[in-house]
Amino acid sequence: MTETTTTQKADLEQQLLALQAENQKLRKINQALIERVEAGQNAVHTGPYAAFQHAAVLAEQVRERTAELSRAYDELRRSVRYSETLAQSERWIRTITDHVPAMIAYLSAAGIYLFTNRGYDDFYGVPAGSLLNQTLDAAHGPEGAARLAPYVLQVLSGEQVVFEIDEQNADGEWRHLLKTYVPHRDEQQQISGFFVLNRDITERKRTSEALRQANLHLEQRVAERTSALTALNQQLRAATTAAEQANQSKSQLLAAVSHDVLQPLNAARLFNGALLEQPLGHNQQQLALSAGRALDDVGDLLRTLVDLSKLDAGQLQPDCSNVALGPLLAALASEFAALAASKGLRFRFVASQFTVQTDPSWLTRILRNLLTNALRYTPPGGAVLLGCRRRGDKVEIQVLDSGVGIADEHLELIFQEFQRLPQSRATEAGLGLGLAIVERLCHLLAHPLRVQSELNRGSVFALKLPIAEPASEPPQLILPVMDKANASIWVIDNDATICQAMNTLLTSWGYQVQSGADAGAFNAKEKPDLLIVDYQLADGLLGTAVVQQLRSQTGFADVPVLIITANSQQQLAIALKQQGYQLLYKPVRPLQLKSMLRHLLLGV
Amino acid sequence: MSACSDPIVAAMSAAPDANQAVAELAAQLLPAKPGFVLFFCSAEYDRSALEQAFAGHFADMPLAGCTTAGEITPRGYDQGTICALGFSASHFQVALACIEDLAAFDLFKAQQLVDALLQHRLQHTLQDPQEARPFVLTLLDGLSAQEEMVLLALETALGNIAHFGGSAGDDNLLSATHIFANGRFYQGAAAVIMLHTTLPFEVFSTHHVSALTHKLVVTAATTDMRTVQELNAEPAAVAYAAAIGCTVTELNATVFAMHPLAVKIGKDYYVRSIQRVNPDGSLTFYCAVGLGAVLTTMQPQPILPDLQQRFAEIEQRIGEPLITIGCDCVLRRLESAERRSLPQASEFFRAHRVFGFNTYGEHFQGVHLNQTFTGVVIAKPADQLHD
Repeated sequence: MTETTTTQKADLEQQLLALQAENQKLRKINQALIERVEAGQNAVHTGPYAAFQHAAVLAEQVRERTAELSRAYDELRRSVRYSETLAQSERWIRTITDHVPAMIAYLSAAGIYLFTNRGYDDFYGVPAGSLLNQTLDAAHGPEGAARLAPYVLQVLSGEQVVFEIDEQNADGEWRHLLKTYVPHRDEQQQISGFFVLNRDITERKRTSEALRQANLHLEQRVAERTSALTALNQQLRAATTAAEQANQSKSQLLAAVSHDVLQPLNAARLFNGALLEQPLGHNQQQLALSAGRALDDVGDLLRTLVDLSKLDAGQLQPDCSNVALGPLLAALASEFAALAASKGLRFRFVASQFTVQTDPSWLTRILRNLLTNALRYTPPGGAVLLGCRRRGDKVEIQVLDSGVGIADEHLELIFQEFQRLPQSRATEAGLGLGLAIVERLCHLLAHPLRVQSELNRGSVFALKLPIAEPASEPPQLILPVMDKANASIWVIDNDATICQAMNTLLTSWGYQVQSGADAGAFNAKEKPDLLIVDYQLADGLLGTAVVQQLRSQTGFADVPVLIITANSQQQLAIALKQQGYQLLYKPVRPLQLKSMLRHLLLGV
Repeated sequence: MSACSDPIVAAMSAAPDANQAVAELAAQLLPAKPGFVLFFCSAEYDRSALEQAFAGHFADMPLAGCTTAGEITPRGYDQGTICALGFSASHFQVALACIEDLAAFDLFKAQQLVDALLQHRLQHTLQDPQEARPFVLTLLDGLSAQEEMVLLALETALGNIAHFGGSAGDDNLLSATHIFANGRFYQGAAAVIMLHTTLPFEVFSTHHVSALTHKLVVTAATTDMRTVQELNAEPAAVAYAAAIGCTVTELNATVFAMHPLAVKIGKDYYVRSIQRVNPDGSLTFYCAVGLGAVLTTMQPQPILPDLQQRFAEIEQRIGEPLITIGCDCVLRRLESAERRSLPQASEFFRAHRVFGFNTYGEHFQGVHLNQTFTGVVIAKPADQLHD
């Protein structure tokens, strides 16, 4: 028991000692902590650890402050930038509003100016910005403000107000203003003020009044003009109708000429040709020759008229090639030299070696016209010259005469149809179509035509042609002239008069002739040496169809065919020639016919 | 060669001969015509030979440096070498001061020193001085035990000028550490370097330890000597060994590195690294630990992931890094060695162009730290990002 107690006591004592030691330690820790706490932040004089503690606290504070500062700095920078932007945009608004040609202001709900632009200040004649924080009275005076009061009430009630009012400007001048008041609502939708926009519309008013007056006059004048124009229009329409009718008549006339007139004329010439083949007395012979010439002239005239209308209608186109001028001009020269001599005129021809780009038949026609005119208008004893002259890359063909000449004032007239100059009346007859044709042909060929003339001294007609490379001309074949007597010719024409005339003429030339209106009229067992066929037969039947019908018979395929037609369309001529047919146009001259027959039958 | 020289040129020499080493540095640095050279040299070098060599090769060029407990060179973690950085005058305006008597350094002197540094900066050479921002680098004798007092005074005078630095080392010999300034090595001194630059930069400090639950209260300490006799009213070594679960005889530098202690001030834990165990069972620290300080046992985390994360964050803020000057606690290097991760750490430093040294303590905003990586990341100029 005692032993146990002793042991227990020893244990307890040990525990007590341990606890005391623990207690001692804790007291020591406690003491250390108290010292540290009491040393507090009073660092500098209490040693390195306190300094470290202090520095750490300081550093943390610095970090926090730095963060704060950098936030504040950012904030500041933003706000500086913002206020700069704000100031900038305010300057802009000021600049813009000051330059707007309108008076702009803003007033608070209490009627105090918070903004005025330069236009506004200028109108009321106050120093810039001096109206700020003033009432309406400052600009308008009590009376003016009173006049505006109802509108101010209206805008402050939330309505936009537009009104016109007369106000005196800085110079005491009454001006008419168009005013607009616009209410300004804040975020709570309360009206915190209103915008003022004034425009001086005095001038506009004045102008619009003047315009209104002018308008009235204008309307009246327009009405007058309209009725005048309407009348004129009606006349024009009538005239146009008449012109259209006339044109149509002309076309109809030409159609008639080409068909119905040429046909009997053709017959008449063939008859006259036959007559000349008869044994006649000298007087009768002369009369028949005159009748023949007159018929030729009528034929030429009609052909010219038809050509003229075709040229005008653009139906004819030149067929240009490289043409040696030498032979062409020589042929003309020999023809007209004889004529000139018969009229007692001197005729000179200067030969030329040029090759030109032209349509030889058109060129021949042009020169023939010019030479005819030259002979016609040159009195006996005078002279006519045909010659060429080089002009750069062109050749100018000239027809000169020492004739009556043309007065300056008439130069432009000569190319118009049916124009004949007064002095020409005295001389030989002419219808005045020649130069009109020449002018048109030259135009289509693009050969510029020049006229120079002096009254009673003479004229020069000259046309320029482009020089071309000389064409390699086939050598001309000279065939012996032979007569193939008794050749058999069939004439197919629905016109009995033509058939009769042909019969008479061809028989007188020694040919065997049969004639008829169609293929059935001939003895099919015989074979002709030549067919002369009218193109346009009765009832729309074409001569070519009859030819084909005949040629379908055995042995007929190689019979030469001569087509006679009044239709001078190029396409037809081309088509017929492609089929191997020869072609003669109405009215047929006997001489022409004779040479064609010799060509076809004898190869001449 | 571009008309504008590189803002910072890094150089190193592993030559054991001081003159040869400095000659090699000069060959690497001088072509770039730097305005200031900062170096970290092994404590093995003959210091007077270094002084002569620097005077011979660099003449009047401003120089500053310190001895180390290991260098971070272009090769990564290094030892027995000199690492140097040349700062171009067109990108850095440098002002230098030397605190020769650390014990006498007070707030008044700190104010004068900072004023002088700022004054010097007025003679600027920078292309765009208005855009330049300053940071201060401190190199301090690592065995002077004066860091806390000096840094507090300096921090107070610097205000919110960014500040970092490191305490010089001597390869864990714990006998003598030196600062180089004014053309010679000092003991018990500090170099204060103020750099103004237009380049983007960020001063930072990071550690990788997290708090455990053990608390040790300092119940007896010789504060000026950083020696703690008792923790929790027990012999310090015994109490520490018990707290971390080992015997007193097992305690060494590596154990200290793996089991740090920290005090909590404000929101943050500050590691107080143990330097050595004294024969009397007391512990001497690398930094001040006072009576009544509450030490918490800490758990180190892997070093590299923390560094990688910090660098990534900083690079995102300031752009592509040009160079990093790092003050890396010697205990972190021991820790990496213990974990056999020195090659990886070296690889990371090379990849991020980190140059610096292993310290006997780091300085960050006037606070003396242990077992951290503290430094500055300097980024490329914004307009050279796409070179």
